[in-house]
Formats: sequence, structure tokens, C-alpha cells
Amino acid sequence: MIGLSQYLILSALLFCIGFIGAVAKRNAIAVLMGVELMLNAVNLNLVAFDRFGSHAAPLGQAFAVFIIAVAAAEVAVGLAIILTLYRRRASTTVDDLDALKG
Amino acid sequence: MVVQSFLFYGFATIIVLSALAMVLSRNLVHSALFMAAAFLGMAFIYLLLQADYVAVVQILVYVGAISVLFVFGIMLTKRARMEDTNRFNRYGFLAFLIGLGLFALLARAIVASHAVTVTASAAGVGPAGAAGSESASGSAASISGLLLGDMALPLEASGLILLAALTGAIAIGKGTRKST
Repeated sequence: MIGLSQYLILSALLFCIGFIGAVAKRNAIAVLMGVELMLNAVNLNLVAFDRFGSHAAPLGQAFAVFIIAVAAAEVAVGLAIILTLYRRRASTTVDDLDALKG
Repeated sequence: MVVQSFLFYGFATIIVLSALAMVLSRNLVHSALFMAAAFLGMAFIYLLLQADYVAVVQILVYVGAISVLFVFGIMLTKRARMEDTNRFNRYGFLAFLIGLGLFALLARAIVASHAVTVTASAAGVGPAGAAGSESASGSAASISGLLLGDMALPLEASGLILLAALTGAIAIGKGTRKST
């Protein structure tokens, strides 16, 4: 029997894997990929709570759709920033992006 | 029920292995492909949760658009060798420790709260109580009724966010070329 806990554990595992990818990677595009995986884990949480909750209207799924829209916008802007930085510095390594360092 | 748990564990294994391969892979292109595989597996998990519309949107937006956007981003920031483009930084070990600790904490909380959710569903509050209306709750009709009814203003706001992101991405992508 697959219950709410199994979905939540899967979501927590994906969130932690995404966290490792977002924090520990050297390439800015890989960092963005980790953030996407974390957003996906949150979506899975919302849909699972919607499925196993007692609410009749699919509120959780509507929230998941909004998160997907915001994630798409985030990727578009993030990749545009990375491309601009690559054009200026010929590097996508996160450690090189220290222009705001005092 | 047996088929459902078989499908769940199969897809969960595929997703977790793809996600791990995405993080551990040293080639950035392989990482992007494993990310697309993980997103595709998530769509099947949504189908198991009877969220048909979210599953379709997941395939359309994540697998179709975002993965392709990532591949374009990788192609446009090209380097001489594609191997070794996706190394860990110097905090790799620390990040693994924190990630494992975070997962242990979350799993502990989920397992500890498991008894509460089980008794709630046994008392008729959970899915057993709402079984009648559940068959159609994931359909496009019920979600569109919600999105265009009660959530019409947030829907318009998210459209505005997408428009702002579109113009912002174009402005950021073009601005420096004009100034140089």
C-alpha cells in the first residue's frame, strides 16, 4: 500500500539531492538544475497532499501549476544571466562570479 | 494495489537514480539528459497520484521546454572539452553531509507523523472519506474551473510574471551586446 509517507519520503530525497546539486556544483548551469529538482520535489509534495487530503477542489494541483509557471520564468531569466556572464567573462564557474565582492 | 506499489517503486527508483546521476555526472550534457529523465519519471508519479493535468503540464513544460532550454544554454556556453565540465566545488563533501543530514531529519519527521495520517484516514477524514469526488479531481475540467474561477487573479499575475521574465530575458541577453 502506497500512502502519503512514501510520496513525502521520495520528495524529501529529491529535495536533498537537488540541494547537493545546487550547493556543491562548480558550474552555474548545474546549480540551476539543482534548483529545478528542488522545485520539482515541492511540486510532488503539493500534489501528494492534494491527493491524500480531504479537500474536494484540487487546490494543491493548482499551486503546482503556478510553481511550474514561476520555475519556467526563473529558468529563462537565469539562463539569460548565465549567457551574458559567459559572453563577458568566458566562464560559467560560480567561483568566478565575484563582481559584487567588496 | 500491488500493481500501484510496483509502479510507484519502479518509477521512484528511476527518478532517484536519474537525479543522483544528474548530480554526480561530470559531463554537463549527461547531467541535462538525466535531469530530463527524472522530470519524465515525475510525470508518471503524478499520473499515479491521479493528477492527469499536472502530469501533462510537467511533460510539456519541464521535459519539453525547460530541458531544451538547458541544453541550449549548455551549447551556447561551449568549451573545448565537454568532459570534466561539471565538477564539484570545494564544498562538495560538506554539502553531501548536510544533504544527508537534512534527508535524515525530514525522513524522521515523516515517519514520526505517519501514525497521525493513518489514523486520520481511518477516521474518514483522509482519502477514504472523499472517495466519491476524487475520481475527477485531477481532470483538466476541475482544475480549469478552479484556475479561472477562484484563482483568476493569481492566474493573471502568473501571466504577468511570464511576460516580465520574457522581456527581462531578452533585455539581459541583448543589453551587453549593444554596449560592447
